[in-house]
Amino acid sequence: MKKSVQIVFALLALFMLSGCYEVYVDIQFNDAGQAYVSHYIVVPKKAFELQLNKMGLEQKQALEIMQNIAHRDAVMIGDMHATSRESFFGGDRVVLVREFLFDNHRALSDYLSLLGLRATIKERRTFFCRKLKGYDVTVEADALDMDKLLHFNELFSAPEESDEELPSFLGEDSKQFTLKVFLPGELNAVEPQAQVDWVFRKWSVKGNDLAKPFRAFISNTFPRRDEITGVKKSTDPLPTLDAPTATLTDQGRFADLMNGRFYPVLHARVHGNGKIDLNYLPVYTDETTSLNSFLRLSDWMLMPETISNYQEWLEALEVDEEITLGFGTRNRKPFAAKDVAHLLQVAADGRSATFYPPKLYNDATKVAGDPERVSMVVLVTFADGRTAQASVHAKDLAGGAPIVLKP
Amino acid sequence: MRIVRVMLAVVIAFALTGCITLEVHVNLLLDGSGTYGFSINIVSDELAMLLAQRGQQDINEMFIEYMENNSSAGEMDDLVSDLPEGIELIDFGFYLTDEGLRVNVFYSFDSLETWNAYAGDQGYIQLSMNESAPAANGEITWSVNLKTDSPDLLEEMQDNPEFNQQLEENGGELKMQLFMRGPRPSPATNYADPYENVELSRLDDGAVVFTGPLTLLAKGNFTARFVGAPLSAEELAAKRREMIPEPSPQFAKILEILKKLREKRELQRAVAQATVDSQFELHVDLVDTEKMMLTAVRTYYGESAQYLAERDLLLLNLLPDLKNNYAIEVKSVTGPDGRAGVEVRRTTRNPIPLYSLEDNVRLRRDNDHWVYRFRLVYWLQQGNPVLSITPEPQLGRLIVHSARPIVGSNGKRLDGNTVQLDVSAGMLAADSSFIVRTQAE
Repeated sequence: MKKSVQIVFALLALFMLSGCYEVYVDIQFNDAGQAYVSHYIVVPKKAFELQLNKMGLEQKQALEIMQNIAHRDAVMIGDMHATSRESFFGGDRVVLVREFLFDNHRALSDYLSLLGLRATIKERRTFFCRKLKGYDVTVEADALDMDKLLHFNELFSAPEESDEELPSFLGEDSKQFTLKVFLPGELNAVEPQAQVDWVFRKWSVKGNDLAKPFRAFISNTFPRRDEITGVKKSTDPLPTLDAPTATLTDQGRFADLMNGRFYPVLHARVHGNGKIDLNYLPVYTDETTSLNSFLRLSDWMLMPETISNYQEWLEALEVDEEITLGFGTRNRKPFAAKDVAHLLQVAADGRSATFYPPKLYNDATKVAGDPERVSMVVLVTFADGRTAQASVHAKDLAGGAPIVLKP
Repeated sequence: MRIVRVMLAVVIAFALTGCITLEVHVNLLLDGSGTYGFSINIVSDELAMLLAQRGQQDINEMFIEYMENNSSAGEMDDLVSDLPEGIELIDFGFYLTDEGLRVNVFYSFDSLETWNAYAGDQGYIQLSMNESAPAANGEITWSVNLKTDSPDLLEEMQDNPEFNQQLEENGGELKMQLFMRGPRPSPATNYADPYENVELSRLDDGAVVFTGPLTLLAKGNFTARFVGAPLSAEELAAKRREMIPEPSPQFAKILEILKKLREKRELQRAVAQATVDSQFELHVDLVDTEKMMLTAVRTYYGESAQYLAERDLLLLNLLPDLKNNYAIEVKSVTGPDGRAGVEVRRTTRNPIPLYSLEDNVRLRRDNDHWVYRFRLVYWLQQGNPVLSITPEPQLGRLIVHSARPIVGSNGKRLDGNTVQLDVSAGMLAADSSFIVRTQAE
């Protein structure tokens, strides 16, 4: 009875106000000039619900509005992609999430300007060959305007007839803004002193300090990188997985759990000259992200080509009508068509392509889990910009028929 | 945002005129199987009016929305997680009544032993039943007893501000009602033992009702009697069916949510285990100052072995540079714990540049030595479930062999030219380094 009584009372006492609200802007740069940004608003759950009530909004409506703002910004700014990542609800806090991918620094600066932040991103290059050496990133503001940083006026503003500027339940001291920046390689300078948070440098400002000028500067040098050169033409087929599976047990449940939650997308971009870029982009969910992150980062060491011959690459992918983020690699130099012919061949007229599924099994009945599960997705962007995509199922990895992709 | 409006209104309504009654329902069959449940009835004219305007459908949506948003927080999951075999949650929900709102939590159990073990653990009431010898007419008397003895419960409830407010509003006394049903109806007289401060009554269907102060939850003793012929197997089955109704639409939805929640938790556990079961081993053979041969081994064990080996091979097949530069071998292995695994081994065909490892390696000259620093930087992010596993798991190892003698290292020395670093999860959650100092010439 004890526990149940507590639960029921907890249910009936949902809406006590406490805590503060915070805005986080996390920026991760890569050496391809892209930036990945997570824009979070963290609000006490009870306050969030009261505010919804005050604005006469349903929770779903509010989240839709927030996503609409993100997509509207993406269209307005260009070279910017909003994903469908969902907000989440903890025991006492709501984390409202907007997630973006920026193709270039101009787009990132434009988005930050919507938040009242001036961003200057300088690329430092070597004098002779103009090779990218590093970035100098400055983010500043004369004063931090929480209204702009929230960038969600439809929820976090008072009705027009009201004199209130911001939600009445939030006092000045309860607001906080945090900027987190990740630059790969060696950091040259971080000003002012910033906290270390995982791979990020972090600056936090709260209360009355929000009215003071804000400036964060960070500068890096990309590490030395040597390409791995070796056998240029494709070698013998790789070994298959049939033999080991005979000794393994209980392989189905994990594959079932992962189905649709952790698989790669191979995005082949066909150039006008027939060369092909290969982007390997794992798709993952909130639950599988820790495994993806571990494998991806350890691959950098165990398969050094993934950073020496390829580079970190981000893409907004539309899978199952959701826009999700693929966090993976892209070759630094495009492949000649003949070097990837064992995998993908583009028709002479450039209007279709044929994908040859790798043979990982000799016997389709040996695959882990459901042979119909999606083991990967192949996406082709043709030279004229049109795209085609197809799912490759586990059974296709046992010598399945070639897959023809047509826009 | 119905939930905010309605629940806020609930709290306000309580403060004005509302009152709460706790009902405990026990239904026992002669084999000791039965149901146990409690309902909290919130009676308030204002609340009834408000809720009536909204309707049961709205209450359902409100409750389900709350469950969906909060199930991950764990407070709801407490009700159903780790239910022992033989015990099932058969109803849980908010229901509209003529007077206000009713919150139901009902369980079924297959024996008294199972129930009492669970009840003891959860702070629910334990039950017992005695069966008399058959009387001359063949009838049996079943005496069902409920004894509560939980001295800390009342104290805990009284510490709760909402509870206290309720207590104040109700003149310092809250009521509980205990409904008991047995294998047969209770007799018309002598159906229960009297108990201090408790009012006894009998319902038309033969249920016995004890009405008293809520403090009886902390200390009370209730005995009811039920009389009749033993039940045939058919009667028993029919009673069991009647006792455990089909889930209400609301509860069916809750079960769906809980199923998803369990799957999510299973997924999180599986992902953490898969990380632990994907052991890596990297052999770096320094053939020259800035040239190395690499052997990278990943060995996959457990339920994720084949799936992750498939991912590995897929990656090798899809990115031509990965495939062409290496000799690749796949084989079955048996781990030290006897588990079967799949090993994927890649060995460079030719030496590769040290700086193909990019930021993961640093090299500097220190007088007569070369100092290599292999970096393992934050492979595990804060909050990665692997970091909460105890004891801290080993996730792999780095082995460096140098053609020149190794004069110092933070790893363990295997021989004069080889050192090894065992890599734990904690090391991968930080900026860790494997430092190897070799002779320069």
